[in-house]
Amino acid sequence: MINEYIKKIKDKGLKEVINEYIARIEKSDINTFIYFSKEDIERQIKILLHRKENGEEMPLFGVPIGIKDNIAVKDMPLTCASQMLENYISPYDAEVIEKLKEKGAIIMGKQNLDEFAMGSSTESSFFGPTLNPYDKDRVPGGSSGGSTASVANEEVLVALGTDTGGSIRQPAAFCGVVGFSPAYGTVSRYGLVSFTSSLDRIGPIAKKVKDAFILYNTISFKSTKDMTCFGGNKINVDVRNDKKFNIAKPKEFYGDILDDEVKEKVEKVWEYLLRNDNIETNVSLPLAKYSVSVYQAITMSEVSSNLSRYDGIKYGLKAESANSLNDIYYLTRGKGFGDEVKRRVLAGTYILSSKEFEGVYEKSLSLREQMKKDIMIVFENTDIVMVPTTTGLPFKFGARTKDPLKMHFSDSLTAYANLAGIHSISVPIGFVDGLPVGIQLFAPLGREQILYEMALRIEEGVENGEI
Amino acid sequence: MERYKIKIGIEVHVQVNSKTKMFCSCSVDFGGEPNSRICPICTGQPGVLPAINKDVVNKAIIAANALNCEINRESSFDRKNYFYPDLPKNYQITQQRIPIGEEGYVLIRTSKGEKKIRVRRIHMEEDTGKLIHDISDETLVDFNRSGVPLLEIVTYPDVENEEEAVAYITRLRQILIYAGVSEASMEKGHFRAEPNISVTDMETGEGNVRSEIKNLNSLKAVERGIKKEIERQTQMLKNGEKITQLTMLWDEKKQDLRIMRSKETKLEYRYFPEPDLGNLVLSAEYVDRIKNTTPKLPYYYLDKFTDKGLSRDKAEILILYKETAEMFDTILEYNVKSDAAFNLYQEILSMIKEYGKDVIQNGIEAKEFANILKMLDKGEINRTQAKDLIKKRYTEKTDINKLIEKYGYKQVSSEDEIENLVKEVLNENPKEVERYKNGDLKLQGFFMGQIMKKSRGKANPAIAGKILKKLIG
Repeated sequence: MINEYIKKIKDKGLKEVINEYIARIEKSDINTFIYFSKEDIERQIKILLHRKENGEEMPLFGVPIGIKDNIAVKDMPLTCASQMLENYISPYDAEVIEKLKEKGAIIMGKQNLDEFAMGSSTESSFFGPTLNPYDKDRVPGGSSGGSTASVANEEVLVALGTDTGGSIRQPAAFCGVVGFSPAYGTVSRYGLVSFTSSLDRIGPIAKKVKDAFILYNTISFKSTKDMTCFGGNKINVDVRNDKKFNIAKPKEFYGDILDDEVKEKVEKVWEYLLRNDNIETNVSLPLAKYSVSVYQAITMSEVSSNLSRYDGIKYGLKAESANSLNDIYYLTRGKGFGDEVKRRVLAGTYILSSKEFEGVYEKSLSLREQMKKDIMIVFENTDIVMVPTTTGLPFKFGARTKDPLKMHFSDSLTAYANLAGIHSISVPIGFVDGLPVGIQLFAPLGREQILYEMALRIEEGVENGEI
Repeated sequence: MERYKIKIGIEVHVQVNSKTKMFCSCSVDFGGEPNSRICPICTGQPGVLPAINKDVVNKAIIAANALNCEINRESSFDRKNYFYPDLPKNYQITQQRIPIGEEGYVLIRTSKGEKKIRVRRIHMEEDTGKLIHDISDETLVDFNRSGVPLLEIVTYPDVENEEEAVAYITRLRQILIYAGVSEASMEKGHFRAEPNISVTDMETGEGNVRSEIKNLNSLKAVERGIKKEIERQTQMLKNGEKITQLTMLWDEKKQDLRIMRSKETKLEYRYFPEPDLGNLVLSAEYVDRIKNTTPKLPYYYLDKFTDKGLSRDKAEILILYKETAEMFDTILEYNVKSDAAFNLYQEILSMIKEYGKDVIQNGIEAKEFANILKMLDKGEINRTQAKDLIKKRYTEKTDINKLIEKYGYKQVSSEDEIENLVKEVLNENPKEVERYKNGDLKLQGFFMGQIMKKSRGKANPAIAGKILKKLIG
C-alpha cells in the first residue's frame, strides 16, 4: 500500500492526500494521539515539496507515519503518556526518526501508549485510554495501543511502535493490523525511552505485511549511537518463494490456555498452511511456562534503574512545596508516576537489592539464556515457529486493571520471543464476533526473508477467504 | 613490633586526558561557562544511550600496563545506582564486577628505602557533574564535568604512614603523566585522592576500623590529613574508646578534619550489568598492540640515569618532570659526563621555576646543551658563561654561536694574559694585598672577583687561582 500511496500522491498531490488523513484524525474519537498539530504537518509538507523541487530522491515521500510517544522526535513532546513528562519537548531526534525524515516521511504526531510502555491495554496512559476501533468498549491492547488503533482506523498509513514483551504484537492482533517486533539489535534504540534496555525494540505497524517490511528495511541500519545495535538484513520485498517450509507448533502455546474463539481461528490457519507446508507438532519449549516470571523479573529490575533519571531536577515534572532534596525526589516521583509504574519500580528496586539479587535477577538471566538455547535448537530443524498472539479476544476496559498479575499474563504468548532475542511478527487472521485475532511467526536472525514469505502466505490466505 | 599498626589504602580518581567524554562526544575542557559542554547523553535526557570512547579504553590499557596490572581482555560495565543531583541518570556507569586491570603495583621510595605498594584494581568510569552552593541560596548544578572519563585506582592497605602516602601519590601521578594518560593536576581537580585509614592496637586487637578522608586537594593536605587521622584513632585506642567507621572531610581553612557522616549504613548501590553496553571484549592482539604504545615510564629513566653513574637522588630530581627526563636522556646520548651534565642542568631546572616548562619547548635543545658541556669540559668557556648561554638561549631566542659572538663568551686561558690581569689587580689593590699577606686569607675571594670582573668573566678561574697563589702565596 505504500507503493499505491506514492502513486496516489502523484495523481492527487501531496497536500490533498494528507488532508484526507488529517480529516480522519480530527474526526477520530478513539483517542489515538497525544500530540497532533496541523500547523506542524503543513510545515513538514512545505519542506518536503521544496526538497522534491530540488530533485531529491525520497523513497517514503509524503508517507504519513504515526510515532509512539516514547520515541524522540525533535521539538515534539515526548511524554511517554506520563504526567512526569507531560510538558517535556524532545531536544533531539531518535536515530530511526532521522532516517525517516531523510526518506521523506511525514510525522503525523505522537501516539498514545501505556505509561512508559508498561501495560497491555493502553489503560494506564495519563491522557486516557485509546479505544479499540472495532469495539469502543474494548481495549486496543498495549502498550502501543495508540499506534495500532490509528493504523487500523486509517489515521496514518503506517506507525512505529515499541515491543518489550509483546507491546507491538498484542495490540496489533487486537486491532487487526500487522505488528513486527524485529530481533534485538537490528533497530537502533537511540531515542527510544528505555523501559527494559535488554529487551526493548522499535518496530513497524502497518495494514499490509509488505509495508511493515519496507519500513523495517528503512529503520534497520547499523547504528553509531547504540552500542547494542548491529543492524539487520535487508529483505527483498518483491521476491516470492514457493518452497515448502517446516513450521513448528510448540505444545506449550496451544491447548487449554487459549480461549475457544482464538483456538478455532488459529486452527484454520494450520489447516490452510498444511496444504503447502510441513507442520511439526512434536515440539516443546519446556521453559515457556516461566516466560512471564522471567520477563517480569528482568523488566522490573532494569526499569527501576532506567526510570531513576526522572527526579524533578533536570526536566519534566517538579513537585511544588518541596522543602528538601528528598522531598523533591519523593513528591515528584510520587505524583509523576502512575500506579503500575510505581509497582514495577518498587519491585525492581527490591529485586536488585543485594539480598535478592542472585536468587531472582541472576537466575532469571540464566533461565533466559536457556530459553534462547531451546528455541535455537528448534530452529535447527524447522524454519519458523508459529504461535497465537493472544489467548483471547480484545477484553473490555477494566477487565484486567484490578489484578495486575492478570494484566501481566497478557504477555504469556509474546514474551518468549523477545527473551530469546529473535524476530517475531503478528499477522491478522480475521475476526471472531467482529473482533480481530492475530497469529505470531518467530524466526531467528538471518531468516528474515522466510519470515516475510510466511507472513505473506497467511495474509493471502485471509484475503482469499481461505482462512 | 609496633603496638599500633597503621593500614592505609588509597583510592584515586584521575581524569583521562581524552578530547571527549566517556560516553558522548562533548569536549572535555577546563573552565568555561556552566552547562556549555553538555548534550542529551551526558545530561541523562529520556531515550539516550552511552557510546564508548575508544581513546579512553586505550589509555586505560596503557595505565593498567604502566601499573604492572594484569589486563582483563573481557571487562564489565555496570550500573551503580544512587540518587544525587550531580548524577543525571541517578546511576553511574562503572566497572564493578571485572575491572580493566588488577593485581599490579607501584614502587615508592621513602627515607626508609624502596617499597612496593600493591594496586588492587584499575577501572574506567564516568565523572559526575558539580554542585555549586555559594552563588545563590539555591544549589545549582553544572553538568560540564558529567560524563568526563575517569580511571579509579585502588591500592591494598600497604601504605603505613603519611610519608609513604605522599610518595605513592607522587609516584602514581608521575607514572600517569609519563604514560600520557592524564595531566593529573591536583589543583585542576584531575587527580583526587582519598585515603582509607585504620589503626589497630596489636595487643588488644581493638580498632582495625576504616575511615576515609575526602577533600584532600594537595600533597600537603594529604600529609596533614592522614597524620591527624592516625593521631585521632591512636588516641582513641589509648583512651579505650570504640572507633566507628567514619567519612571525614578535610577543612583546608581550619587545617583539620571534621566528621562528614557515619559510614555505618552501607549504601545499597544495586549494581547490575549495564545492558546498554554489555562487556568490553578486547582481542589479545589489540591489547598487545596498545600496550606496545606505552611511553617510557619513570623507572626507565631512573634506571638509565643511575646506570650512567648518577646518584639515585639526582635521578629522582631529573624525573620530576617528564620533559626534563626526556631531555636529559637525549643529552646523555651525546656521550657527556653525567655528573657534569647534571650540575649544569641545574640552570635549566631553576629556569623552569621561573619561566615554566616553556623553557624545554622553546629554549636550548639537547644537542646544544651537549655542545656547551663539551666546550666547558675543554675549557673554551667557563661555568658562568655556560649558564649564561643557556639562559640567554631562551630569553633572547638566539642560537648559541650567535650568542657566543655577541657576548664574546670565550674563556681566556692563556697563562700570560691571565698573569698580566692578576698583576694589574694586585697593583690596584695594595691595601688588600697587605691584609692578605698578614693572614686575611678570605680576601682570595675578593681578588678572584676582581680578576673575573676585569676579564669580563672570561678568565679561566682555575688558572687565575693558580697564578694568584703563585704571586701572593
